[in-house]
Amino acid sequence: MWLFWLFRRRCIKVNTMHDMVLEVVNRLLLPFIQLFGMYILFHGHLSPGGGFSGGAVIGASLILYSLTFRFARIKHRIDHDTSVFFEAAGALIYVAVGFVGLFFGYNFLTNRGVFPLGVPGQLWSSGMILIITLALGAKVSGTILSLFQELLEGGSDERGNP
Amino acid sequence: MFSLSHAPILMVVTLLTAGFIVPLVRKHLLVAKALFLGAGLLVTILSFLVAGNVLENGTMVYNVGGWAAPHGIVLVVDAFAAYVSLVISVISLVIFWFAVFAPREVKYEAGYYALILLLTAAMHGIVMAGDIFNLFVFVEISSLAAVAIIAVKGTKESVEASFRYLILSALGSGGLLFSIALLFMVTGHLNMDFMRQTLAVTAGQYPLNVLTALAFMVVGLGVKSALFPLHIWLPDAHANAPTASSALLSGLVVKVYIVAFIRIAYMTLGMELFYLLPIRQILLVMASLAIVAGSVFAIVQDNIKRLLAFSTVVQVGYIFLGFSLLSARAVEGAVWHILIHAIMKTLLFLAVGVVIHQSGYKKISQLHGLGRRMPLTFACITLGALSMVGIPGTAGFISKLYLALGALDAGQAIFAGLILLSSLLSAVYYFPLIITAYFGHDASPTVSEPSIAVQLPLVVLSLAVLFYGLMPSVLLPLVRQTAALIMR
Repeated sequence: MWLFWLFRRRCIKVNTMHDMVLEVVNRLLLPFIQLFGMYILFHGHLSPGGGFSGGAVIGASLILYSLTFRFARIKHRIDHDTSVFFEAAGALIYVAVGFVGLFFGYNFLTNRGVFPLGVPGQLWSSGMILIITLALGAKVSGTILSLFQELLEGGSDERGNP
Repeated sequence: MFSLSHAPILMVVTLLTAGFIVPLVRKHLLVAKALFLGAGLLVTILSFLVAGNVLENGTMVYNVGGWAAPHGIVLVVDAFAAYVSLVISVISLVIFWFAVFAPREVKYEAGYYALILLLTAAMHGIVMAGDIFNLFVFVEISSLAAVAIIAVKGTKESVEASFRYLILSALGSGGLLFSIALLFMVTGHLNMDFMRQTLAVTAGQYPLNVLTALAFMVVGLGVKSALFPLHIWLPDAHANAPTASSALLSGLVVKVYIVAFIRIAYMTLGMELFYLLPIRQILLVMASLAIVAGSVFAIVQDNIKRLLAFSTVVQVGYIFLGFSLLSARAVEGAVWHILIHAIMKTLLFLAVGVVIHQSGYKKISQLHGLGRRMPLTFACITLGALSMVGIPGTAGFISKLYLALGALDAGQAIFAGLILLSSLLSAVYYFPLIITAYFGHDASPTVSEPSIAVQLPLVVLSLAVLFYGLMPSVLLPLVRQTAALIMR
């Protein structure tokens, strides 16, 4: 949702060749798609879904945004560097969560005894599983977006990005 | 706080973490290089500690997340895992050094380092995984990273070779996954120890499942480890990759899949199966074919790197031969050969890569007189080639001796003859390289030696070849324990 409000003004100003129907429908749809993605992420430990599916939905919504509002726009908001950053940061958070257990004197990736487990079935429960789901969501959406941007740039950008 | 019991997971996680950080700092190449080398060094130290600990206190088991074996994910570091991950970490540290200091061959260096780090992490994971599905996951990571470090060179040939490798290795992964599914059907476990115990009871009830699983596994891991008729992707892939990738792929990656095969087929399915099914005879035939046909293919190559690639096919045949002869000394020879071939082939690929970069020549017939221009590099190549042939005093002699003695122990003298024949054949394909380089007319006066930092890995590996040729007893306890574990 917040992404949508961030993008809104810029889109209206810049698009010279736009398809009204596509833009209006997408402007209506995008917040709900992203909200749904967030729902899947936050309920990863309670219901079917989780890091990969939620991240894929959010990543797909960002691709949809970029396809609707001209390819170039996405570069100004979430450029390739940022998506690569999210990709790496998600994985690093996962590893960091694993190390927390090590610092408390348990094994790598220990949950019980390190993180507050909460009441099973409630949203704020399950200790590190929720954190890991969110981190994976960041990684998957970053990866999907950066794959898309890689294809967009034809695999060769002058900045020397991988 | 970090007791040694955490070392196995730290080895995998250090490499993975470094692999994720390196692309983030790609703008500061110096930091990326320092991280890359630092991770390699740390893992090498850890693997020495782990190997020492395993020798002293026996197998280490690490429960990830604190969950114990049948339900949780465990890392099992027995003598075999400790030995192979010691080989991987030391050889890959040398290759890391070469990749950092050698002349640039790839466009995106930081991305290349990240891929190498992921590949190395996956190799350690394959070796130490205690359950068969995590083994499969690490096999997938390493396959994809291995494909990527070939394609990263960006030439037409390398992209084509890596695409072919991708398709075949995906087929191999499919076979492996199917065989894991079949074994899971029979046992209801993914943990290798529990699988072994359950199979002792249920294998007789579902013989077809186990048979099919074994067949799919031989094909799946055979494609990945380039066992002879399934090797067709290897020469192109290894010959067209960047130098450091070639060394890594030929020296280590191919062998890690053999380790995975031994882990599942020998140590999980159990030896009893080998006396019921003709699987051992099939492996013997395939290995012998690899040794003979690989040599014949290598003889006709003029491109140096393709020659080395076909030589890898031959050496994979040696390792499989040792493991399928099933006598104690043959298995020891195969375990030795994992280390010794890694040293020799890494040495040869790195040295040949240096020669190709300094001179621009890729063919043996062009090397006239280069031995005088690059004395140190060609001294290293000569030593590597002598070791490949198996001249006494070099490391190659030790493993061939063990393999030949093992063949005699098993009562199959013909395979000892085969090893002798293959040594002769490898002299036929390695000596033209040396003879042309030293005795040709001096055709290229402008070629010079590379910098000392690039030569250092070559010298270190050459010394290792001599060291293990003269004093093989250093690693002997670990090798003995490994062989005993496999023959259990």
